[in-house]
Amino acid sequence: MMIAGFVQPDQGSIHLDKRPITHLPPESRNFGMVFQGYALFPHLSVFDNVAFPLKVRRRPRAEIEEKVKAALDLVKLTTQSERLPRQLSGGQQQRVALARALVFTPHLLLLDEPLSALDKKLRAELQEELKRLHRKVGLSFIYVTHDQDEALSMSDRIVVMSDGRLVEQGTPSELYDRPRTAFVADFLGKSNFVRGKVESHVGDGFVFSGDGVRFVQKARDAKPGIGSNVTVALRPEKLSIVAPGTESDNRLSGIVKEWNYFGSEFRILVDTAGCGPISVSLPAWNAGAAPEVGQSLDLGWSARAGMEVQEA
Amino acid sequence: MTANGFGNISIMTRSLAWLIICFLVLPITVVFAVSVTDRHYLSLPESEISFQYYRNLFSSGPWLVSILQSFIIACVSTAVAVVAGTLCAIGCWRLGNRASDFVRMLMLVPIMVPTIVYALGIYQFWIDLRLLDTYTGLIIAHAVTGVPYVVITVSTALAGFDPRLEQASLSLGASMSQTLRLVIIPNIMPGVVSGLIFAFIHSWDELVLALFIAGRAVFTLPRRMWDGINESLDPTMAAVAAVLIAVTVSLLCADAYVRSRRGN
Repeated sequence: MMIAGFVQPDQGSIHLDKRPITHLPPESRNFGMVFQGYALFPHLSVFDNVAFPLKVRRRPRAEIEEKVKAALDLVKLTTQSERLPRQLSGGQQQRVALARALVFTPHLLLLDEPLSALDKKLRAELQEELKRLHRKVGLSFIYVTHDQDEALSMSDRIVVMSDGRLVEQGTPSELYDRPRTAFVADFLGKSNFVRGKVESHVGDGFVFSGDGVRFVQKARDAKPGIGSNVTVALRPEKLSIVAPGTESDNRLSGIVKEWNYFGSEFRILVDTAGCGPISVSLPAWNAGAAPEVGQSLDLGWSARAGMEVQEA
Repeated sequence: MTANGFGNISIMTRSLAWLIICFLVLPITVVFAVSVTDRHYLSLPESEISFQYYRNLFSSGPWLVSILQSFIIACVSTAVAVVAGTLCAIGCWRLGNRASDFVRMLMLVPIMVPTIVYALGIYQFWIDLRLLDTYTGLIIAHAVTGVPYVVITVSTALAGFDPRLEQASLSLGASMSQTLRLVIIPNIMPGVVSGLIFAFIHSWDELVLALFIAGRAVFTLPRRMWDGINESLDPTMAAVAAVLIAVTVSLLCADAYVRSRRGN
């Protein structure tokens, strides 16, 4: 809303290509915007909706006709141009909103949770289409979403916000594989957390212990001082069940409390003595060894699998 | 409401409803009967139906002048009331704070204050401004008292208007005036038209203000009817009343039509 110019920031400034735009009104910013509920003009046909940004810029009729056709072609809606928005399905309305936001070649495209009103399958389809459009028009998109999977699969760069503050930013794999904060480790995908005090340094990592169990962890940059508190985030899919007696950097025993099948994977919740409940996901094709509720087992993970993070 | 929403209402209730409708409407129909009388005073037609008083009405100079004057005053004051009322309603809607609620309330004062009190105030005021017995004077008075109708209907229409459409329009590069013209007004048009019709009817059959602030040069139709009733009980009056009712009913039908189109 601030980037679009509808709300003035309390402090700070907004720049586009090093040009300050903080006090520019929305109509002078030349940003395309796709709204959560599409916000199509109900009294105008699909064609007139898409032509709107060109008409208010007083472009010649021939140019409007040509550009609107091209934009509708881009979102595959050429045949629906005479219809009114209410005669279209949700997915089609979203495409019209996209065409309308792109037709005037804006500097930037803002998308405010554009797919949140659609069902899962249609959403996946439109996600693919948005990525295709993004490659085709070569424009920067700023995409607001609450759907973490959507953020991971669609972005080149993610900014995680919480309570109006920027928590962390980076590429999807940076944020997923090497988050700096416990908030991001838990928000983008799921994480288990193991907390403890550093006891000694070994190789490129350190040994820490929490509630009497000892773990090895590779350090992120500088090794934390001995005696300091550390938090290590563990992705459920990076944990495995280890047979007694086999070698593993870290080992934690517990009892299976819950067991869920998701088609492609099993998710189990293991109640451990020192670290509370830990969730583990196991690929389903390896299900021969699927544990049962109440069974005791050992979880293991490599010193590289954990992610050293900061508490908020 | 379901299609047979009236199906399970008892006969008692239904009869009562019809009785009330008759009570409200029947006295009006008497006017039509009287207007085609063949006699020389206000009465029901005795031996035959005669349109002599309609002929009389449409060939008599003073009546035609009054109809024309009323029509001009109603048109101009409606135009003023619609523009002012619509802009006021949109402004209040955009502000959307306590001050705007207060302004909206204030706009209703002209129809909450008894007309006779209001007319007295305007009379005092118009003496100083030399607006008594002028078109301008009556038009301003009718426009001011017409504004509340427009504010009410347009505010209702705006309550159903998605504010994101305005944001969408601005983000697409439209200026505020373009947004007003191309997005907001077309979407609240049914409310504007309803307000227009009510403001017109209000001015068209308004008597009290016309009695107080006009009387010689400006002599509106309701005013002439008032005089006619006081001086001579000429059946032409009934013909005039019939015409007035016909105009009002057709305007209300137009309003109902506009509203039904909004429903689609």
